[in-house]
Amino acid sequence: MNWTLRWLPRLRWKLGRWDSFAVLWLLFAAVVAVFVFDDFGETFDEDKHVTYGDMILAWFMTFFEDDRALSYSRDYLYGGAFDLAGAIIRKLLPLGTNDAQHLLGAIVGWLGLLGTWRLGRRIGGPAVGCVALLLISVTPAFVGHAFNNPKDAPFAVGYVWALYGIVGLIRAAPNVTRRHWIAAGLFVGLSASVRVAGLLSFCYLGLAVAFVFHYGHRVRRFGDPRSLLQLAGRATGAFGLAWIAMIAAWPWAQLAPLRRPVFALSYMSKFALAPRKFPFEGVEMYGFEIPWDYIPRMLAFKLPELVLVGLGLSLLVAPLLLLRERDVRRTASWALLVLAVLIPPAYAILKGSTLYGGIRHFLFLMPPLAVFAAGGLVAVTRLLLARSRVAGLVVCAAIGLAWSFGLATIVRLHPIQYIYYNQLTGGIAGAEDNFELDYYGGGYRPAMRQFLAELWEREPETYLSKKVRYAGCGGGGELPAHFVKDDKKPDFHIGSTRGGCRDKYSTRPIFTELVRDGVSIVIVRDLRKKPKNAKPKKAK
Amino acid sequence: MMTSPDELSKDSVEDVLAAAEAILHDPVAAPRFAVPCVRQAWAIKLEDAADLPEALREYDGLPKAQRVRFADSWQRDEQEDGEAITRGELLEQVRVLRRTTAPPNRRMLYGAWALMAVALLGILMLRMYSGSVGITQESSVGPWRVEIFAIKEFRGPSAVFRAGDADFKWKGPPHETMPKDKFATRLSTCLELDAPTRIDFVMVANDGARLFIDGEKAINAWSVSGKSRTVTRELAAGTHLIMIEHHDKRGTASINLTASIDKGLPGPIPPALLRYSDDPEKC
Repeated sequence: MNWTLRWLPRLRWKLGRWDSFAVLWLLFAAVVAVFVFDDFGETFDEDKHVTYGDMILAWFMTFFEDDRALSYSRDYLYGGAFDLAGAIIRKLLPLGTNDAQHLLGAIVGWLGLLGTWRLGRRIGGPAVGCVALLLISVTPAFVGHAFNNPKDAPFAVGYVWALYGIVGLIRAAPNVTRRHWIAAGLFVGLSASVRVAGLLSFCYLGLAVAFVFHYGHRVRRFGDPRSLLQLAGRATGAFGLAWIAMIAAWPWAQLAPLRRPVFALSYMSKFALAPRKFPFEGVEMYGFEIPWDYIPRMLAFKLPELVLVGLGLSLLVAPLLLLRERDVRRTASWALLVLAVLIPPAYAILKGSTLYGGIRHFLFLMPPLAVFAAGGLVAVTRLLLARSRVAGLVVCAAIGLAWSFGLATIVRLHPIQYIYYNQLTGGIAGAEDNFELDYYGGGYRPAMRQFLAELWEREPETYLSKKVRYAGCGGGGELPAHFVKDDKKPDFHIGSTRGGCRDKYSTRPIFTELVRDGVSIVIVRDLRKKPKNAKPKKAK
Repeated sequence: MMTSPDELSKDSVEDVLAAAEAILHDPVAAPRFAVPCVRQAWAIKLEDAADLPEALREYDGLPKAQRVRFADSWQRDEQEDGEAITRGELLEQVRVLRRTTAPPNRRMLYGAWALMAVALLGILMLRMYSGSVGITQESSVGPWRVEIFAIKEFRGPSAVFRAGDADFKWKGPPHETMPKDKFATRLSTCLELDAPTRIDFVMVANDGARLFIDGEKAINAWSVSGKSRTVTRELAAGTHLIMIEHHDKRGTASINLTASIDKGLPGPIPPALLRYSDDPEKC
């Protein structure tokens, strides 16, 4: 106790107020994650990634003899760093498959929070870093995906660390140390080792190298050929390290390390596997029919209001601040972040990419957007505080209040935060029937826990009967072994909002339902009782 | 030629401060030669080299009066006709920088992260042990002893391992040394109760199984596949041997035992109530 009391003020004194708060928040987030990771349900993508992870592990354990990972489903086109880590953690921890995966998701998601803080801090200072951390922590799409999305969430985390590494090169110019080069190369490679779209980070790395050269030339750092050669050598090393990190857990790419990642990128940009319709602004459409402005509109609907306000403020004050900025490295860092946020959606719009599942394919934009928003909020608050302390404090209080509403939303929607829509759509209630809600199946686990508890309380004899038959669109994995799927004579029907499954058998009584913000996300209907208006059977 | 602050490496903060001190303690060197070093050290500390006075004013890691004084001295130094920053001011800043930057800071942070990781692992272990998060399948510390035989008469060579929970589903061979069909499984554990407890055991198996409690056959579902069988027992305080015998004919094989303790929601028996025994016949 004494030790703690002595240690905490030291931490605060050493780190400063913003950093201390950020560190304490990260500690708090880690503790919460350990308590809630098993609340999150299996999503539709996870099963294949678990299998792919096992196959990658087998590829290494059998010294490349077990080659199932080379052709497994469509997953062989993805780098498998996260999936391999999942396979290893499942071997190390005596947890169930899903729980082990979600614990890994929690760790990676926490690294995402850490990365957002570090990126914000590196670009805008301690205040921006801390505020960015707080904003990403209350961004429901990011939090909701972090635990059980095996592709988009790890990629978002990889992307923010790649940006952190690259910005590190810019900020350290012209004296970039070996550690900076290694960090940048490693992070860029790791981001691409989950989704090949991370190859974009290689372009940012190239831009950073060009900047380091340009800046070094300006301050006469590269006056002699030796320093130039050293720069070229280290930059090449960083690219090489990134490439190795990218393919280290990607068996298919290892067989043609230069050609195949590029092929995968070109193939993935034409990728159109979404043969299901979903509602977007009230209109049912396929993923390849979406309007060109799907991404900006979805971002506007899925980001919390406070982040949107922050982004608006950063657009307002950016010209003013950039004009005042004397350190070209800081300007270049912000410029890189702008590119990192604008280029991917612009590319998707130009290519007419197929999109579905809300904004999850562009989840990786959320951490840098949180940094932008934090930049705007901090700058405006400081400007106000410098002119009128009262006005500044009022704005601070308003920001704090809006943030606490965001935190309340995260708690309220747990563990399916990704269904969140902001007030531009009228919240989740306004988005019902107009947008996708539980597109990823994460609602089934909490719904099945609720269903089992209620069934046990109301009808223990049914719970303990020899077989309980159910039909529906998911949730089976969360039920006991004697709950069997039977589409012909089901006792219960389980359905979520995806594909209108929850509305099947709508005349039958509801046994239980998972409700968030007044909207039924998953409904379990009792099919044992006939509907009131059912037609009587015709006599033979 | 004077070294530009830009040319100082971020890693060399110690060297930068050492250089500044050497200059400042040299009676014949003008203090202004130490200015770039101290400025760079602040830039590293604050991650901001552009507007040092402003950054110093906002830095909350120092007492307000001190940081305002430091900021004023740099502002004065930056003005063309301003008064240069003095040797005493520079020395004071170097002392503050020495105290607040570099190794101890990092060591403390890394220590904090390591402590946090250990604490989190502890919480996770506690959660697993108390049964609030399920542990399952092959676990080197699980309380269940699992023995698999190649034939359903429970004879001949077998494979033995420990498991966290009596919940298995095998689509292929249950063990690398076993066939994928027509095998038999024996699971056993010791249930330790502090007080008399009512327990409803629910067992589902594919293709058949029987449950023994303290050697007495409690459920016989040897030829029943995929349907649950339930038995209720009022167990006295003490240790009870729980054993399941299971067999597979062909195709998917599974075995699942859950229990409702004192009329609670059925679920895996919490590992905190179970103890591993190497002998499948007794505890």
